[in-house]
Amino acid sequence: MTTPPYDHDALWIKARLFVNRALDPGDASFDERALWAALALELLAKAALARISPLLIAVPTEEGVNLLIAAGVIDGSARFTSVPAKTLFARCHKAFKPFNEKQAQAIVHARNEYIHGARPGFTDIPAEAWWPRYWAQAVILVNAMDRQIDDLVGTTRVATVESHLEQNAKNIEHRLEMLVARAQQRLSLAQSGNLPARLAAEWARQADLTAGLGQSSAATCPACQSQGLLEGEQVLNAEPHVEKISEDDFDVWMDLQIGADYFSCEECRLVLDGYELLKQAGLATEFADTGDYADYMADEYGND
Amino acid sequence: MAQLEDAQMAARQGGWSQLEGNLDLLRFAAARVGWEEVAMRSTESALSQLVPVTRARAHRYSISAVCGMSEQPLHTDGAHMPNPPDLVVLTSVGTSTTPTLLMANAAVGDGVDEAHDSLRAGVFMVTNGGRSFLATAFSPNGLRYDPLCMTPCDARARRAAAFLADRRGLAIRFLWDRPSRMLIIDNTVTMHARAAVDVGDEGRMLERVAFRTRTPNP
Repeated sequence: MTTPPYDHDALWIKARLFVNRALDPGDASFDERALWAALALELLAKAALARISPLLIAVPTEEGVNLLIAAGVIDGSARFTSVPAKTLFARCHKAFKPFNEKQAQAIVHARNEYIHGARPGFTDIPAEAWWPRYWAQAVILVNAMDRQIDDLVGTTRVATVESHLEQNAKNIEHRLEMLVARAQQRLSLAQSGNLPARLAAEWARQADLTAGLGQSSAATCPACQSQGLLEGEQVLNAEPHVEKISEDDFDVWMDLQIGADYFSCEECRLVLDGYELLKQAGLATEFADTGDYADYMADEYGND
Repeated sequence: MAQLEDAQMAARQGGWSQLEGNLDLLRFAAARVGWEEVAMRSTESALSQLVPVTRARAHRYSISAVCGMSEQPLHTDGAHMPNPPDLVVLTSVGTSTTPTLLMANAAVGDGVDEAHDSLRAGVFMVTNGGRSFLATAFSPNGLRYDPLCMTPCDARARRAAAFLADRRGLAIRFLWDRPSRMLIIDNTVTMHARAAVDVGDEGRMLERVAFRTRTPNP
């Protein structure tokens, strides 16, 4: 029997091969290595999702051929189509926190432009900045498959990957420091009336900095200590809450635990976009909110 | 049966062991302890009769098609299968002056040095008609290597192939000097190969049965 295209072990070993090619010694340019690495990232995402269920990587069509093949109901692996990278990464973002969909999409976008467009190089980001961002996402997918970096790159290359991961952690720290410092500086200049004219006009416009995500909660701004807004969409837990208002009347709602993805502050205009920055800033990565009962529960049966 | 299990344990420890006896009785004892016989081709039986053939007369996709009567490359049996057998039993019909080369534990190591890291991390294309797949030479299930059906796909796989080819000089020669000799090879750690067929020994015949004695790791 040929290997099914949704076989997570086969996807995993192909990802290993592509990572090997990205890291093998020799004359290959950074562009070529990044290309192999980007291809490997998509395979890692597919492997991680397919390991949970092959249905997660099958394109849902009207007649359901891909879903039926992935479910093992019909044969026909030659006809199997898997979802595009964008969909894979969106699903990984929901399934494997703190996988950053935007970072992964940026990698794949660069890959597509490099292959199909006129861009001469893979990315404008220098290699020493690109690899830390890459490995930060790849390692999340490796862990999602209950494996270690050693399993992906081999023992002798673990140190290289770990140094990139350390660099990424430093980069996040520096980025947060930079964003907070800039927000504090901007606020100070605005309050003292010393903002340059163009910036003062922008400041006066009071743009909506929120992300418009489904759920939100107040949180103290790490830059100016004012009240900012944490936002998120992923429901981590939902429990019904029932309160008796009167003899015959009840109020019912859902207590939700939401995964935070975004913070903004109207006062100093600080924006922290992404789980890693929230965590680095010491903000809550989950928050409580409420939701409509009807959105989560079907009507209960009663003997009346 | 005790003799069979002792021979198996000795093979696990040393890479191979030998037994005096009859292959039919061994197969019977193996079936009683639950060993699964493994055919090398889906269209053939588990019992193979190995006779030297010229390249022209060999099966199109076989070691003999490449090597003919010359020395074979060191290899593990069933490397072309997703789950190779873990034990291979060879016995000679009569005696033979052509030895079988054995190289045990070539892949054993802690994985930190380049060679062993390459065995574990280098990826090969394993060709088997329309059922090709990717694999490393070494995995939790042990060694898988046959240079005639495995093509290195990256630098580490090329290094692994070179390392294993280099082990040839360390191989020992197992002699088929008694008709009742049986060679039990731990196919997860030991490579083997037929030496170049001795002049006058062209009629030699070995019989082989391969077994899966345990469930492979995922």
